[in-house]
Amino acid sequence: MISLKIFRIWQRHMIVWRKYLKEAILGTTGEPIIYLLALGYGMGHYIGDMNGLTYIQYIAPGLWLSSAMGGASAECTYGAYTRMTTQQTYNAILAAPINTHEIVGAEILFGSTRSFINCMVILIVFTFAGLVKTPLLILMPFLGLITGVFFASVAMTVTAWSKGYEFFIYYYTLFVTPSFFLSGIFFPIEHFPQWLERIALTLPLTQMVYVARELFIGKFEMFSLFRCAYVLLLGLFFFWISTKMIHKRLIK
Amino acid sequence: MNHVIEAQGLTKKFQNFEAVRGIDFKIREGTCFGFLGPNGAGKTTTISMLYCYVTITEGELTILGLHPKTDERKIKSLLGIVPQDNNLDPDLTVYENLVVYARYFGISHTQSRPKIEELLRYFNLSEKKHVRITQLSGGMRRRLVLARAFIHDPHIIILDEPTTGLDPQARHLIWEKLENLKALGKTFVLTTHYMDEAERLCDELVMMDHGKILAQGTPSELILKHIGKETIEVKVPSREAQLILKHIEGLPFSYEQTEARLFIYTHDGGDVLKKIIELKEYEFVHRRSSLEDVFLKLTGRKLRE
Ligand SMILES: Nc1ncnc2c1ncn2[C@@H]1O[C@H](COP(=O)(O)OP(=O)(O)OP(=O)(O)O)[C@@H](O)[C@H]1O
Ligand SMILES: [Mg+2]
Repeated sequence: MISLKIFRIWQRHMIVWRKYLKEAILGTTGEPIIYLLALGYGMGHYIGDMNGLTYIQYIAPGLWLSSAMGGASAECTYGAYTRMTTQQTYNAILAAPINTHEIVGAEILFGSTRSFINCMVILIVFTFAGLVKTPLLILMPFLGLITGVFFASVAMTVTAWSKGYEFFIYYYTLFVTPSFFLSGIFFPIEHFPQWLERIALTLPLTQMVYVARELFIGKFEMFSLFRCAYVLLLGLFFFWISTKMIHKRLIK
Repeated sequence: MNHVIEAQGLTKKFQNFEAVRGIDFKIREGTCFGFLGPNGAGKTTTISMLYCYVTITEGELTILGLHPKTDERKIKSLLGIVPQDNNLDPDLTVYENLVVYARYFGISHTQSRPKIEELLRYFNLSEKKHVRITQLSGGMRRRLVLARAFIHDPHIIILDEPTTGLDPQARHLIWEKLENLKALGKTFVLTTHYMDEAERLCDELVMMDHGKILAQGTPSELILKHIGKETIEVKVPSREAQLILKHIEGLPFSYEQTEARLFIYTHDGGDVLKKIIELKEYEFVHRRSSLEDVFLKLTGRKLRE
């Protein structure tokens, strides 16, 4: 049902992406880096050490991954919605021997490619900033990729349902912002009230931040693979849902 | 000659609105087949079913012997589509649009390069090769959509109102290009509400309204069958028209009447005209009947939503 045509569409997205290269990267890596500097130095001064790490070191891995969330989300909400509606890109593609599954698959592949690239850019920045102390961090872009698959798939589901750009408020307010603040990027979630901790634990970003933080101090446990699999499976679930929904929306 | 497309009882229901109501048609290889009809007749819906963009509610449809339900990918690879609205990729240049589109058909850039150059030349777009879509005129965009439809050398080309909204120069250029391509043996399926376009390009056509086929045949067949060779348009208020009709009773003709005009359709206008002039010096036009007369007669003169 799904063929290599996905890569043909992905190539199209990459041509466009290259034209806005600087904006695309700045837009989704700039923010985490500013958070890192502001909170790391500002709050870090009052917080002191966290489990033997400086506050900058503590928040760096989570912020790193949040750039993956940002890249995939932007691409698969505003970007995908524009292609589906105003630009009629999907309609044009559907006249070729390509189906809706492949179109959605290509969006998710491209969204997570952006996540991968963002994490790569941050890897370079952090290396120069002296934050990279272990070669294990070479794995960070791949964690970004998994994070990207999940957020791209959820974003595509929202896009399939959306009736206008305003609808993405739901996605950002109810999902992206909570993920950003509740996933243990800035503080350990164990100190939340129990109900909130439970919610936080189910958030895929929480799981990914956990893995990233381990990597950061040079650890890699087998259990991390389960965490990654959990996020990836959820991503595939939303991929499946969004494919159904987009198909229903496009093919009358 | 073979039939490349055959439809029987083809029906499309959107929720509870029936846009296409059980139509039959057969399209022969190497011909241009037209769907004519006013706005909302169901033309776009019909041809969208050909390229699997709209699902079939009921009826049979085969395209080159293939079924839309089971052979979607195969069918689409054999068709070239020119949609009613230009859906060019505004993020890309003219050249990139074609490269990317060729890839959708599994044609790599190296393979498509010579074909793209050829198509750009053919459709007079070579100078605009590296220009963004947003900077093209309407006629250029339309020509690019046409070029795009030919990128994979399709068997059948489906054109949804190819020249709507273009100036006469652009329309004639497109017609000429399409005629040349037809001479190479391609099959065309076309929708239009321009009668001159249909008369010039179509070998066979159907007139549709409200999702049904009203008439079918070659342009001249349709004119002869529904109207007669000649049309006399008399400028006369409707209350006075009865007088004329009474006076020419007995001659073979049919007619249509609007508030200020009487349309008399006949095979030999001379006799009819002689009799009318006996009555009074009316202002009139005596001309060869056209498809437009058939169209208006069959679909009525009332405005469409
Ligand atoms: N997706 C849809 N959902 C509901 N109704 C639709 C849909 N698409 C088309 N219709 C209706 O079906 C009818 C036929 O539409 P269609 O676009 O096929 O007409 P058309 O002959 O191509 O008209 P035009 O000359 O204006 O392009 C119209 O009444 C239209 O409102
Ligand atoms: Mg139409």
